[in-house]
Amino acid sequence: MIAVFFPTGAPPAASNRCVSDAELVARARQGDTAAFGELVDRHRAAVYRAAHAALGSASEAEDVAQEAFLAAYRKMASYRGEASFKTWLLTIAWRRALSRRRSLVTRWRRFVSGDPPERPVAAGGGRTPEATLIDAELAGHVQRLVRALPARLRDPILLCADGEQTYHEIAAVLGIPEGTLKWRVAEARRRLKDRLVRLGYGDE
Amino acid sequence: MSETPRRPRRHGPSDLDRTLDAALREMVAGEGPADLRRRVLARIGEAPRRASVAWPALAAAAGIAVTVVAGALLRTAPGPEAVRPHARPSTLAPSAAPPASAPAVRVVARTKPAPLPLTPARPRRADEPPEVRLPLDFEAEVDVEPIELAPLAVVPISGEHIDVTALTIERMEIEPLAEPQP
Repeated sequence: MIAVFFPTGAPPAASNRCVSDAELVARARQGDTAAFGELVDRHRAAVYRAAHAALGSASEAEDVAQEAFLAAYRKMASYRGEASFKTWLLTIAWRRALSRRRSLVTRWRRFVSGDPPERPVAAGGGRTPEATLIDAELAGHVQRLVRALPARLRDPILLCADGEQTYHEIAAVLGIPEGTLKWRVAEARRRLKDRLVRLGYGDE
Repeated sequence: MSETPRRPRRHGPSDLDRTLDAALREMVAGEGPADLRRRVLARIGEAPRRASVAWPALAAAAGIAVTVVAGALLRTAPGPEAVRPHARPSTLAPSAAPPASAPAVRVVARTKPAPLPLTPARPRRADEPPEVRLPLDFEAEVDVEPIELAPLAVVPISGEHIDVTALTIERMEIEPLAEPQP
C-alpha cells in the first residue's frame, strides 16, 4: 500500500540568502519587503561608509543611510538595471549625503561643534607601544590633512579607502570618468604624503 | 613649523603608505546601525498609512480654517442696518425723497484719541477753567433730523434743428512773386 502524505502547514518562505541582487530587486518590486530587507543587510555597510565619507559624522551617516534605502525602495520602479543595484544605491546615498553636506543646517552644526574628534587607529599586532603611539599621532595628522583637502580630492580618496568598491563603481557614483578618479586619488595621496614628509614623517 | 625638528623619524615610505591607508580606513570605518533593516522596513510599512491619514486630516483642517475665517470676516463686516443712515437720497429720482414723517436718525459718534502734543503742556493760569479730558471710550449721542430735499425736476434738453450748408471753396488765383528790385 502506498502512503500518501499531504502538507499540513504553509510552505516555507523562499530564502533570500543565496539569491542575486537582481532577483531580490525583482521580488521587492512585487512588494516583497523581506527581499528588500535582505538588500538592506547586504549593502548597509557600503551605504553607511559612503555617507560617512561625505559627511564625516557617524550619526548623520546613519540618517542618510536610512533615507537612502527608503528612497531606493520608493524609486525601485525607476531602476532599469543599467548599473548594478549597489552602484545605483550608492549613487542615491551619495547625492543625499552631498545635499545634506551643502545644507545650511549642517554647516551651522559644524560651525558650532567644530571638527569631529580624531578616531584612534587600531593598534597593529606585534607592534611596540611606542610605535603604536606614533601611529596614532600620525593618524591624527592624516585626518586633519584629509579634512583640509579640497572636496574633489577628498571625496575620491575616502570612497576608495575601504577597498570594497571598484574604481568603476566609485567613478559611476561620483559621475566622473574612471581615469579622472584614479588621477584624483593619486593626487590626494601625493599631497598627503608630501605634507606628512614636511611634518617630519617618512624621510628616514 | 615648530614641530618639525622634534618629530621622531621612524617611518619609511612603506610604513607611511601603510599608516596612511590605515588612517583613511579609520575615517570611513563602520558597518552602519545594526537595526537599519528593521528601521527601514518599519518606515516602509508606515509611509502609505501615514499618507492616507494625512490627506483627509489636512482637508478637514483646511475646511475648518476656511469656515472660521469666513465667519470672522462676516462678523466684522458692516451690516445693512449700519449702512442705511449714511445713504444719500438719489437726486435723479424725485420719488425717492424721504417722507416728511420719517423718524429721526440717531447717530452715535465715537471720539478718536487726541494726538500727542509736540510741545510740553503749558501751565494753567489761576483764572483759566480746567481742561476736561474725555476718556477714550467716550461716546457722544446726537440727534440729527433728516434733511428733506425738494424733488428735482429735470427738464429735457431740446435742441433746434441746425442747417448746415455745404462748404464750397472758390477758385483761387495765385500771382507770381514780384522780383526784388535792386
